[in-house]
Amino acid sequence: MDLLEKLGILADAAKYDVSCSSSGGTRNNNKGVGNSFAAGICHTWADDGRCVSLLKILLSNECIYDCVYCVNRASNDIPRASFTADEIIDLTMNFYRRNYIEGLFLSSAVLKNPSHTMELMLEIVRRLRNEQAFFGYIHLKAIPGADQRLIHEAGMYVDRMSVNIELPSDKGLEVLAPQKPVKALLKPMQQISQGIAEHKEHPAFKRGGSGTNSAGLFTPSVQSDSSSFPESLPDADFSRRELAGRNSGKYFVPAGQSTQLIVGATPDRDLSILKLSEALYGKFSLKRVYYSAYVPTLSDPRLPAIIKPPLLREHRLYQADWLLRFYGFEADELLSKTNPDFDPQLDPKAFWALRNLHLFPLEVNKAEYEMLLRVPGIGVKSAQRIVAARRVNKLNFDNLKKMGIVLKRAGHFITCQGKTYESFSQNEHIVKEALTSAKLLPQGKKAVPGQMSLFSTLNETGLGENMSDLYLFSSPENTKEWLSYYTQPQDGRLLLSDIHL
Amino acid sequence: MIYIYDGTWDGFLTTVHHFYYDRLEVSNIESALSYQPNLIDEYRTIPPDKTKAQTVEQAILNKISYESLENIQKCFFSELQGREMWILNYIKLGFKLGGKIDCMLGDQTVLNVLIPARKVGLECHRMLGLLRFELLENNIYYARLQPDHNIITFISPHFKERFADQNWIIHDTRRNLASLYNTRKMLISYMDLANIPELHTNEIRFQDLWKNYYKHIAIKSRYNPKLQKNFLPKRYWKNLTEKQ
Repeated sequence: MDLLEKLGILADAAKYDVSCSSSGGTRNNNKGVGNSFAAGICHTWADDGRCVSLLKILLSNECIYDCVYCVNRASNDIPRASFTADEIIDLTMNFYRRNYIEGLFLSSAVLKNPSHTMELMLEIVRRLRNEQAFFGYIHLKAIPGADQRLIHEAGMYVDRMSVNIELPSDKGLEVLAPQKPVKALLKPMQQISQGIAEHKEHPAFKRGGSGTNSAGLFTPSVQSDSSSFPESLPDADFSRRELAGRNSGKYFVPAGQSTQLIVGATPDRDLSILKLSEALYGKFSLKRVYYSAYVPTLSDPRLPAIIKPPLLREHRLYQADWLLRFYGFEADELLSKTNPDFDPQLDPKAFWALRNLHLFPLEVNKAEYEMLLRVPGIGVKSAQRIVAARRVNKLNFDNLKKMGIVLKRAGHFITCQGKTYESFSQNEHIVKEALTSAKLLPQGKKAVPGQMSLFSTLNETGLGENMSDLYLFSSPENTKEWLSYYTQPQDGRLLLSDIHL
Repeated sequence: MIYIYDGTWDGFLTTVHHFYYDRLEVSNIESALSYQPNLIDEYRTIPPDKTKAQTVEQAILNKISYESLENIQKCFFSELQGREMWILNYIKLGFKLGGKIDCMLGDQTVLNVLIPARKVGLECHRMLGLLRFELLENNIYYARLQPDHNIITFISPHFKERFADQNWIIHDTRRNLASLYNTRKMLISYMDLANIPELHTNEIRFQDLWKNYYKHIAIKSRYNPKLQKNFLPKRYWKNLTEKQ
């Protein structure tokens, strides 16, 4: 089978994992190729509107398990393939160097047994770091049931690790994934979260020395005395291996761990899904919980007969997830036993605000930041802008509008210097109409459900380099002249005058 | 009086210097590259002066803030019509208020600079992901772009750090501007690259692999071209390998 075909099969097999983020990494380029960008970078968007940041592939889709919801289940009749380590390394490096991707997201079906699979995956990430001096982002799936030592060692090389819970309740797992007891899923998550916590506290790790780590977890090549490391060695390959190895001692899953929950394959309510997420953020300090609308890829009497994936429900859960992580909400405030599911018409914040009209209106010039965050129409950025701007001047509605606050929504919940907005009302029905999703946007510009993105603007402006020094104002005449720039002797002190322009 | 400058950042800062020292009534500042003279207005060409430009840059840093300098710079490189006077008015206000100006997020004078700066910031961030390099036969990675704003100075340092061991060229074909990096030093230069060398023999193979991956990674039952275009405006598709 050729590589093109294999890549197709193993991308198809990996695409139902929705995690795409490349954020939270802290790795810098140390004489190799690649680095992390704290906010993450999306490199393209596929035809389904989902961002592509990492090369997301399975090592293999030849699975011994038979989980009912999964495309790769043993009894499913689909083409099977496995990559070799060399193939994955070649693809990752060549895609990365062309700026197609931020790094690699490697997952796998269970080949033979969990430890064997984990070992194969570990070899790939180890070789990427040590042989290729690759400092780009790596997200690795931990295979539940694999030897703890393998998971721990992998954590030294990767930026993010994840274990997918998939089904948000014990009951669901029992019926649909009988070979994956919930305990086996939570064990590696607990191990990773402990590893991250210990690593942060342990002073030896902070300095980046590998000598203090417990023996047996490292390959011999890494146990070198880092202090006697010479700056440049004639054998480039050797020096690279040393560098990346030393580097890997500094980190343990620096970008944290994440998981994924499938929405709509089991009868679980939004409340129990959100409570589970809240517990995962609290207990295992997860960075992200992803929600994946169940896409019917197979028919089985144990699965619900749905035709379309519940995308709007997934969207509402993402919105609620954002409220948990960035807006200081708790799951119990958003939903309750009597209200266990979100209203498809209203976003979760509007849903909450409507039930708590008695807390409003707030005076924008005085209200606490935490309360501003709770106003529909004010997001994190707007709230921060309000807090900054009101230090200088008292704000009016015109200021707010210019700062990007959606007054059509927020107008029902705030006052400016004691005044209310023109359309202000505390009548529940009027407010509800203003907050209803579809009506809010002008025709033809309706909200498109999908995973949200936090756009952060670029902080690196290159001010460190003096701009005028970089610019050349006379241009080279022809291709040969500018190519000569690349054929200069590489002695590290190329000057403008060397280029003969 | 209308000041004419050479279109560069240093040239523009020199006009700001003149504005404060000539004490003339300045009604507009225009780039020599784009101005349309008429018979009524009085014009004066200001030659770029690096020392004067640096004085102004230092004054912005000391009397206003680093954040303001960043925003002014981004606004300038947005190349939007009218940016010179927006920036001049911002600087005038900034010299009066100091660093407080960075908090005045609802003020029109401030927003005139802040909004173009945000646009530039957004395009920079997008381009960090959307830039596509092709390997040429002489082992240089070559990327072409036609951004709305003149962002090459802002994005190049990112690639210098990331692809430190590669030779590369980032070429803004709209402005005939390119940054060159040879694994040691980076330069930015005006240039007309007419003959790009042939592609490396492996290049097409990896482009095909990437296109194939891109095709397969989309989930058909979630097909959503509208969402895709929200994130990935069509004007950027031209240089995207996966969209060819």
